[in-house]
Amino acid sequence: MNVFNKPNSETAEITLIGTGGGYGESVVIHLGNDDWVVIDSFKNPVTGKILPLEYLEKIKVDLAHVRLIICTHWHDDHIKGISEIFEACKNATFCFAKFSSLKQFFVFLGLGELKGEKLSQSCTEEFNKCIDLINANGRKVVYSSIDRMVLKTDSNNGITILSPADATHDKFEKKLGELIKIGRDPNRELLPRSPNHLSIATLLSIGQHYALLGADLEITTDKNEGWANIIENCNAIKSIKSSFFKIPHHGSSTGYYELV
Amino acid sequence: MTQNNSLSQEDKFYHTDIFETTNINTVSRGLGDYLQSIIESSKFDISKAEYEDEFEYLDNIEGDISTIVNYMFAQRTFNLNVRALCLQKWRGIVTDINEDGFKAKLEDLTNGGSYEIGSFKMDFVPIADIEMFKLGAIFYWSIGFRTINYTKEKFSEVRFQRLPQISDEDFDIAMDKGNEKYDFLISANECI
Repeated sequence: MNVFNKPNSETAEITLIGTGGGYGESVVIHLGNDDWVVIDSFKNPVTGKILPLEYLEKIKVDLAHVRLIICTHWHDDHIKGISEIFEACKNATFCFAKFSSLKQFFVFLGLGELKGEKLSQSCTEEFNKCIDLINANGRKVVYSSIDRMVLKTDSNNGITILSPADATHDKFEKKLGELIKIGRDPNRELLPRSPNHLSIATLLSIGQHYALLGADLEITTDKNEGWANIIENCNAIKSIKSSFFKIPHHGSSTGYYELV
Repeated sequence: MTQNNSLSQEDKFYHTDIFETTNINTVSRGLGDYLQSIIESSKFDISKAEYEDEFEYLDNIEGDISTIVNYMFAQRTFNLNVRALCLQKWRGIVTDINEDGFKAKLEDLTNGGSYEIGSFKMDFVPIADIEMFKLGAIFYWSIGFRTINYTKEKFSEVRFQRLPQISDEDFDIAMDKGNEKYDFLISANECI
């Protein structure tokens, strides 16, 4: 099977790009009937090309058929190039986590934009560009929340959000002050820190099959967060069995939860 | 002495600082006389014969005479015949700090490509930059060869980034921009 053949309309396909290499991760999904979804993005460290976009173009997908782009979190290895994909896929809706302190998070983004303009590059630059596209061009946005189906196709295939948990949102609000302090320092960069509780894990439903896509979600001692929260509290996964599981956090042991 | 027909802006600025006094009016007497006056005022530690031997080429150089003389003066007096060739440069970010040292994510600025993770001892951090050393701190690591007074030596230099802090005014601008974006996003867009 040639991996660079476009699947036919009756074939669902999940393409994992990068996942184990350490430089980035992206998932490109064909839900059938030429409905496509892109989760995260990263760039080839040597060529600088945006890999999920390159893949879609290689298999000759009409980018107008990309329905949804999910930004699971804003770490470098998941977000680089996502604004260009969003711009190129004119009909795609942008999905990211909404939390109560989103307004404060935008202050943090504002600092990132200032740094990007004057001082140093920042992963927030990508997020800023996506927000600018939404605001300037009326592009659609959908916020993630647990058990929310963010996309449902005509053939009843879809994507449901499993995380982050409400408890994670609350904790993040408290951390934002620290983030803004670091964001204000031009001589420091934010470090992606474990655990990645803010990461959006998703459940893909295609016909009778389910696929669990773990993004960078990790385990935690707090049962109200991470994978423990999904197992305990997510209705979407109750009484279903996935036939595919994209291991979280690039195969790190911190992504392993026995009950999954 | 090395013949150098063009000076960088940095050189010109630096050497203007060093050069103490000169009577620019002496330029009208011609280059040779001008330099002669400098020698006679003991700002140069060369003999007349050395001067004639080394500086005769100056008659053919176009440019600001005071700048040229500044450069020569600085070179001779402060032995600033320095050239450096940087062979490899990285941009690093401190990712972990422990008792023995620290780890950093290194971006290759010379050859590009993917990043690397390096482990370093604490004495890698220059004493002058200790205050900048913290998690997330950005530094630049250069390796190459340097020639000082015709002696070639290897160098490995680390400098932590020291950009000016974001002012309160800029912070307010960033905050206003962020608030504006948020307000527009919430009010103007459909949510599916």
